[in-house]
Amino acid sequence: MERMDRGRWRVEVPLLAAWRTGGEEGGKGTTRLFYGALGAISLWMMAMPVVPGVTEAVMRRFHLTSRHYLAWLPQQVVPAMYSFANRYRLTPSERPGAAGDPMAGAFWVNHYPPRLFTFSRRTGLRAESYELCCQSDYRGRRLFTKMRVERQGDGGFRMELEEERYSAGPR
Amino acid sequence: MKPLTGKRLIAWRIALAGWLVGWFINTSENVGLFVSAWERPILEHPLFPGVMCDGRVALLLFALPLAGFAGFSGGTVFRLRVVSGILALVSLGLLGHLCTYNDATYTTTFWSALWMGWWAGRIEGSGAGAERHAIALGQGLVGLCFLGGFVGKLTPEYWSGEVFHGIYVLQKPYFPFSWMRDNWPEAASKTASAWMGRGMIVTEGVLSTLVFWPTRAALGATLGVFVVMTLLAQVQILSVLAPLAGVMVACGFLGETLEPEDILRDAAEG
Repeated sequence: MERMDRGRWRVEVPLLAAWRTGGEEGGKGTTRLFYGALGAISLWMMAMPVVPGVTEAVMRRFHLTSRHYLAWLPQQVVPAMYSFANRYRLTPSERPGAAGDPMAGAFWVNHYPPRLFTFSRRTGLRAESYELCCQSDYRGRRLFTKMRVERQGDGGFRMELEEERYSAGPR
Repeated sequence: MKPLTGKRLIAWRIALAGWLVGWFINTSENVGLFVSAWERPILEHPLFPGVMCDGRVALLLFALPLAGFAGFSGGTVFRLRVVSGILALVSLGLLGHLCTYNDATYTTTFWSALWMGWWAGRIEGSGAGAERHAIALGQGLVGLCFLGGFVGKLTPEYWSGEVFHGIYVLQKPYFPFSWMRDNWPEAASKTASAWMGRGMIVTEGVLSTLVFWPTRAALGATLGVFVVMTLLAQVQILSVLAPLAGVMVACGFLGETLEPEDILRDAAEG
């Protein structure tokens, strides 16, 4: 008992303890699958700084421009809170922005710039149509998208992609 | 069938409690959004199938976890598995819905529900092996959530404080950011933003390694960071944090029920 009480204060690393004394539980398929899923997603995340293709996929996830819903949805379970330097500029179509930098005067946003039309509906969207420019930057890689957002007859909006540019490397 | 009892069930229910707090804490905001999308989509987007723009679908997915309260009474492994399955599926559903896709709540509820579903299948067993894997997986998935934030911020705009200043100091309407905006010179608030941004990156990087931490230390550090995050943000951030806190507290609880590893090893070796 004394030894056990003393032992309680010894330091155990959970992963190593599970490996060494986890018994047959570690050999079960669902347990392996769970570890495998955590490991695979960790690798995917850690690849982002070094593999431009991974960055591009996650940026397209944020801008809702993945090639297909079924390519976008599995990425949604990958934690990515406050990833990238994201900005947006929303301009009513009847008051087009100045020529030149489409992101001049843009606002910062934590993630998913197009969410302005769903989650953050406090912006008072009264115009009939808007131009929404979104830009995400990450270690010299950039995704820029321009969307046309038109009010529909029933009061909702419809968003269409007008322009998309991905670039990697020095600008 | 004999109802389940014991510490393993208590741990599962701790995780369930955290899950439900996280899910329902934003009820008024979410229900308002879903009702506004009741008769027509608030937005049509070519990426989303029509059904995933429908406010009625979102409201149904949001309400289904009320069934989760069944996990607090009596219960069989089957019931706990069904509850966990529902919680995982509705999380995935709202992650894929146009009204809610951007909300990190549903990422953390998804992973928490997966852990609960996996653990539900171990509640009737004995031996410390399952507990040790439960702790490793629980700490691993909480670390995974920090890893996502950490890697995504490894960019000069975050390190310089530019993003933190733009998102928090310039835009947040609550203390301390509104006070900084109104009372501090811009240069001072930018310097503070740089250090806050760096602090955030370093904290997330350190906590992304939780799977390698002793459980008590992991629990203390995680809950401490969650308290600071809640103070700096608003109470709504608990929707993201509570499901993770539930898993971490469940892991801490399981850790306290275990005999030390070396005792077990010595016993096994005779």
